[in-house]
Amino acid sequence: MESAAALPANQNPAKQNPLRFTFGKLAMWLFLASDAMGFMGLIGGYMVLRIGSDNWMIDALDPAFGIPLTAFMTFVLILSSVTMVTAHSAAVKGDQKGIVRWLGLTIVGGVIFLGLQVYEWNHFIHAAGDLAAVFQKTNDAKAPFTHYQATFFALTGFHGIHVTIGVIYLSCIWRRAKQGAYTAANHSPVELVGLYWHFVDLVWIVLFTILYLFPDPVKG
Amino acid sequence: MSEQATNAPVVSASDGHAPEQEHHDPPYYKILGVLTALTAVELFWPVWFPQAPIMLILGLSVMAGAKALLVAMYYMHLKFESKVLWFVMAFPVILAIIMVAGFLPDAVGYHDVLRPQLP
Repeated sequence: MESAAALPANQNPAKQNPLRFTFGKLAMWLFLASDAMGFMGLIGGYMVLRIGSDNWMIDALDPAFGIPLTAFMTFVLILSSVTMVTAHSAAVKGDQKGIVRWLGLTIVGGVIFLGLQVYEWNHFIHAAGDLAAVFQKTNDAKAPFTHYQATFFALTGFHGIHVTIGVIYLSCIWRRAKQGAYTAANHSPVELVGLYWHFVDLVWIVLFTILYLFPDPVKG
Repeated sequence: MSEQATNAPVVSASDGHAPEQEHHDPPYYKILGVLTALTAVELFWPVWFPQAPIMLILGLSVMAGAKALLVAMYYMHLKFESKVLWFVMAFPVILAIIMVAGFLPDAVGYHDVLRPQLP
């Protein structure tokens, strides 16, 4: 009779978890839950400032957002979620070339998103600087840093750090995948990086709506 | 056969399960289509309801919530996961609702001190 220790992990009752998930997955979900609370703290603060403001965007100081660009960024991130989930699907099937290809495309999606965010920040900083210079000239007073700008940088910056970490994390997994580290029976890291990446996508979906699309309370 | 049984992604050996014989992924590309369509509707929503801020905010919130739910359920596979993981994610959601509800009196009582200083 074959001993339990000699059996592959997927046929070994001793290695099967009655909770139906690995401790790695539970740890990742717990991390995501705590991270979600961090984001909620920032979003809650943003809501207090925004609801309490009579006129959120001050024309003389705050540049307008480029909605088409950020909509495209949203689409890129959603698309990268699909490539990520396809990479996981390839991992489940043991398709090693598929894992490398789809993880690579996910990394490309993340890098495009970050590149566009750098472009947006650069554009925003310069536009705000130009407005501040005009304000200073006409009012003979230093232009204040508005809540509109502060919350924009805090929220998109915190999310951008997550995307950057996600790209680095994905790159590490991609490198290991190129070395053939993941098989149909052992691909938990691919699933865990996928959970993180989808979470980053989910948070951006919320941020895109509340930051860019919500109307100004007064202007409508 | 239930939807869960037919559409549930294979739970791999690394998850502590024996792989199933048949592999059926959720319709990832259909979900991508829905997410893209909802994003497009979100962009046009302010054009359709320019003078109705409540309708505008409510509609945008519902669409963002629906998109977030689709990502969590299908891409993060929460739909096919153990209920224990549901509880793990339910806690921050409940705490977030309590926190935002707790913030609301501050928001009502808060006045932008910057605004009156502007010419």
